[in-house]
Amino acid sequence: MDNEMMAWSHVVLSSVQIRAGDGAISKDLLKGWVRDAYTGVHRAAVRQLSALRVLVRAQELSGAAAAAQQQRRGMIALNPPFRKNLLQALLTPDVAPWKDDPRFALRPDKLTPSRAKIEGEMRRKWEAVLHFLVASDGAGAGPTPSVRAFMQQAGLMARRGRSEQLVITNRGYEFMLRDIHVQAWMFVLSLIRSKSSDAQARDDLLSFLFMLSYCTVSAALQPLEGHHNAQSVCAAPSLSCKPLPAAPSASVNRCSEKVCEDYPLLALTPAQAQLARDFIDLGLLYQRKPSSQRFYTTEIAVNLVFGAAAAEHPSRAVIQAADASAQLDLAPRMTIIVETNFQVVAYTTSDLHVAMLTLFLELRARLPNMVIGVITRESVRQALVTGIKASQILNFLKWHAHPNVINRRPMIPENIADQIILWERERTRVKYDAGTLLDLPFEGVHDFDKVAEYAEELGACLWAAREKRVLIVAAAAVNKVVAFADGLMPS
Amino acid sequence: MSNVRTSRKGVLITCDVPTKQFILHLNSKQAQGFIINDLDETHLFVEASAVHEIREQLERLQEMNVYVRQA
Amino acid sequence: MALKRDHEKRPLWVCPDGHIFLEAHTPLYTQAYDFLVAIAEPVARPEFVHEYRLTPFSLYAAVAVAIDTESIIRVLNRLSKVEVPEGVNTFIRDHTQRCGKAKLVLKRGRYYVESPHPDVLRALLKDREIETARIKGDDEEEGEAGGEFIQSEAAQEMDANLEFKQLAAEAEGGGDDDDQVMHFKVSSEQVEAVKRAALSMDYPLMEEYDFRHDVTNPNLPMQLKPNTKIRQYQEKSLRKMFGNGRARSGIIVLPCGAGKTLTGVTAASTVKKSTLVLCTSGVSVIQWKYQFQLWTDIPEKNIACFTSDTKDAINPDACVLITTYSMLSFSGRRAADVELIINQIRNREWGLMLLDEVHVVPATMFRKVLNICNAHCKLGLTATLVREDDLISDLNFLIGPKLYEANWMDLTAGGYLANVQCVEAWCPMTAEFYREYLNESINHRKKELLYVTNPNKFRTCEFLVQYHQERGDKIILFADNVFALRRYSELLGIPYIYGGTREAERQRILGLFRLNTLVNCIGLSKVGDTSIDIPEANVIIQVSSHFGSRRQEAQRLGRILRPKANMGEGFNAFFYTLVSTGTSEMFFSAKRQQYLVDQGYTFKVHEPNLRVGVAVERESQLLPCLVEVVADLVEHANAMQNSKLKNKAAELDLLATVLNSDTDKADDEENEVLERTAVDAIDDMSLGRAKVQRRTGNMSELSGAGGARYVEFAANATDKVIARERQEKSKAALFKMRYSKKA
Repeated sequence: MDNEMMAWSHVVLSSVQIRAGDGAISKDLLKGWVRDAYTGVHRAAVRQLSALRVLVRAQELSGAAAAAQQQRRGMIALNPPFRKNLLQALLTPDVAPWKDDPRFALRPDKLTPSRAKIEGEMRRKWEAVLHFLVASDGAGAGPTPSVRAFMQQAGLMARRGRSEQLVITNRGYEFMLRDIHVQAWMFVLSLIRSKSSDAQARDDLLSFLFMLSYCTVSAALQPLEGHHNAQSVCAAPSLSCKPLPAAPSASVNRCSEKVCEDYPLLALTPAQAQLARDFIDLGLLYQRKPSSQRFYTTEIAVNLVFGAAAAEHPSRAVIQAADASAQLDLAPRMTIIVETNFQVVAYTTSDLHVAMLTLFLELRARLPNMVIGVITRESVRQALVTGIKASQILNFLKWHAHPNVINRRPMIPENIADQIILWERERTRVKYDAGTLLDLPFEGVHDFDKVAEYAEELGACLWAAREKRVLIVAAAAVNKVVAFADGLMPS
Repeated sequence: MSNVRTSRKGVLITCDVPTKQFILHLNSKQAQGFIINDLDETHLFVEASAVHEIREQLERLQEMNVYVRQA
Repeated sequence: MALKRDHEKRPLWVCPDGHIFLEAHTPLYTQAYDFLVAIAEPVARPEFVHEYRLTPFSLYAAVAVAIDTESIIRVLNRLSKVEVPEGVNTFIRDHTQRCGKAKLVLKRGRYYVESPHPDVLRALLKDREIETARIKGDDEEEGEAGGEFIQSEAAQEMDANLEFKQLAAEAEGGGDDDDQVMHFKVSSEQVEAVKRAALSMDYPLMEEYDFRHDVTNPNLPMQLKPNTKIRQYQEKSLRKMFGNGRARSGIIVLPCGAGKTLTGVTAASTVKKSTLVLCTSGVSVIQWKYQFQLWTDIPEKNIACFTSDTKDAINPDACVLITTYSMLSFSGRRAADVELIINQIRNREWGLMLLDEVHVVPATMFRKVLNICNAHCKLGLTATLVREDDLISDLNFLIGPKLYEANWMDLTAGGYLANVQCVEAWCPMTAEFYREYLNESINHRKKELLYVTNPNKFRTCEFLVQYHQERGDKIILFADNVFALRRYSELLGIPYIYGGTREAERQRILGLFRLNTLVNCIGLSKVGDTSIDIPEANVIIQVSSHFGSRRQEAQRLGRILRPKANMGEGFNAFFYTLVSTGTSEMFFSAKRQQYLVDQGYTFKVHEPNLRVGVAVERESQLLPCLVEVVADLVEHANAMQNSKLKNKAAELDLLATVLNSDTDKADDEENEVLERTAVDAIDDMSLGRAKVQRRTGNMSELSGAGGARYVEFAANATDKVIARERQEKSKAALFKMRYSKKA
């Protein structure tokens, strides 16, 4: 398990144990429980947890007698609501969200779909969405209108050209390059933002998301004997009865069972149900048919909240986790090698991946497990024209780097990277700025300078040549500058 | 009521030295020059109407000097 | 195409169009590599995935070294991740069906057409020419007599060349080795006719010379010296040639500086019969003789040179005779003594003919050479089998198939070649030079001159020279354009050699370069490409070059490819190409580099301000002291305090001279004076340059016998050039005025 995770768990759980008063504990005491070798990690953990307000200074806790304030310097405690919920989570038996409410109890699930089916469906839908993104309208049966709407709203696609077709944009490209966890998260973020005006709806969404992360994809570990005994839990905070939902690796371990957990749709508020429907469209949740009362979760959905953060930094842990999930046949990874002669070798079998590559590569050969292409000026130009940046192309190549080249420094041969940047530069070599040239016949330079400065302040001075009294002003600010100049003219 | 004598609308072009020369060259080939003001080694002020043609010619210049590898 | 189940253990993919991709980090890679090199044409060989192509010629070459059709198919299947497409199998069968099935063997002074398949022999005999050429009877010593054909043991291929058989055996089906062969004798007078007839029937006869049993021709008293070390790749190439105990005709491709000459010398020492060596220039002749004497114990009386300057006596028994292509292919009238020697050559049976730089030889020239010398085995040696006009196919049939080709990157990794950093510096044109360049009314040669003498380019060159001189490197400045060469050299204060430089002067300058620590940089024109051997240089700066010739680029790289004494980590040799942006030079430069890029070399591009705004995540492979400097090459160059072109006035001076120069004349003289190698004519033809017409006329008139003329001409040339210079200087003033007005 990651050192970081360990440190967090350690700090949190140690703090939970303290029952004296409001659970405040001195920082030094806490540090004392850590082995020397790990003090650095411990300190970082305390910092992070404090930043997240999981840990607060004891002085801030309300209800503390003013007199006792002095004693509490240097003491920290778990944020009370957090503490309360954590204890509850630790102590209550294995309970799935939404399921403990008898109003929404579902009949036993007779036609449980297999995990493979759910994940397969998810992948299919998600790939269709991405394919649509990459290949634009006309890629056969596209995704639902709500998804299209999302694409546009999120700025991932825009209407272009005479046909007003939806075409991928710069941001869309950025989106496409990311790991699937990040993509799902970006989608969710966009949805949340779009509802930002309605506080209630937003809270609903957030709580839905958090609940999701407590869901299991399939029936997980059985509760241990005697875990109901709250005392024993606190004395020995072993994690065996209820694993913290945060670590992706932990959740991976959970998903070895075939039986899938279902959840009642009716338990959701209207806003949540709407979100669930969108999720189903994207494949993040699975519903056997539109009239079905239950939904099933997927790996991605469950990891939405915490999985994304891990995916941002391709640490070995994440790659391993990703590899693990690849073995489970989720979103197969594509690995790419860029050679020094502009040849690109991509190991992939997915049509979608090939479509992504053709955005900036010229394909030369398509083999059963691999695709060979060439980076040419023309192919890169086509990508640049749609607004994709050279750095994005390079990041894409790096992100999918083949194990054989991951340790090569630099990962992409220098001459290739340089050339792509140079091709991008070619396009920005010349700048065109619309403006108006003002001929200011001042006698002295002084007045001219004043006008120039004024234009500068407006951020509208494109060019100023003192000796020739030539000033070029951005089109938008012309009138203001002229007025100012007029004011200075001898009447 | 402006005493500011002349004001011309146009486009300020910022580029590198050789490109400016190329644009000057283009200008000389036109029946009617589009350069309003030759500002310095790397800047020109030109008629807005000429920008499209300039862009196109520059693109063509680049294309001409590019070698495409034979498959 | 479906993947086989254990595809991860197999290293290659075979595509329906005959392209094969080889994955470098897979099991069986080395065996696959050796095999592919033998049966297919390499297209690109970067680090991870190589590309090869099956062609009729490559398959012919495979069969020539005893790799039979079914083995090819079986091994490919064994190594391939996918089922080999049926179309490819058909292609292989079609193209190997006939070639390689029959050989022309010279044994004990007699010619035999040999084949393991009697039906092939029968098919051949259906041709009238071949039928009439056949000699029957009194062949007791050749094995079982009587019957339709003579039967005897096949010459067995050495095991090292048969490693692929293991792979073939692992695939389904076993192979059947041919232990017995049939042959029939043909009359020596009609051998040519037989070869032609067989070729027209699509049964090209592979020529093998059974030199061990050759008792008629006297042996050369020549052995390799005990301390002569043959490198592994040289041995590999020779194994292909002598694989079955006989000498096969064909071509060996090794990069410059990898020891082609030694390979040739070793081949000659193996055959030990009279050997004729053909070179491209008088200078190479001297080098070959030197190498023969360096590596073997050949007595002085058995080695002779034949050039315009030298006419050694040819030993009546066995000898090594070294001469040039032009000496032998000259079709005009020859001087008497020359004619005498030509006849001696004509009347002798040569065991081996070594063809140096065989790729430069056009077919016509080659045929003339073949008309004169009758050699039993022909070995072509070259660094690049790339020619702009693809005349390679002719060579395949005139000499033989490609026997072996070495991988540049492998040789570099093995420490046999220097590790070269290739840099392309993009130099923007200055305003004035570019303005003139854009002027439509000037011809393309003037344009060339302008982008070559671009002051930004000059300053960059100046900077590089200074920088490397401080490091103690030896630098060569290459400029095809003579005018530019002279300007650069004069401004930089370095000695230079071009066509018009007399031999004595050349030797003097080269001597200084080699030995004198004060002379670290010299300028060279096209002469440097072939006629001079300078192993001590480790930096090349190219300021002008010959319109996109890949061969020239590869060859220039060859000048610095000798491994350097201080081989450690990182690069120890540098190859700079300075290119003026916004001009056609960019186009030609990219074209020229194509070949090298496919071999795995990378060209770093340096443009002003490239590093600005680019996140630096890289660890440069340049030696640490060079890293910061090179980052903004042109910027640094332009910031030099002591440049010879430090202000506008100096630049304009140069511009004026350029515009007024009569460069056509300078170049023509250069070319007339150079002992023209055929390569330039070939490249020019394919690139469609206007002046080609004049040149092809010259070519056939050139002869080594014109040596005396050569010297005389040189003198004239220098005088003429000097006179013109004075004229130019007076015109310069006028142009200076024109520009200073605008400034």
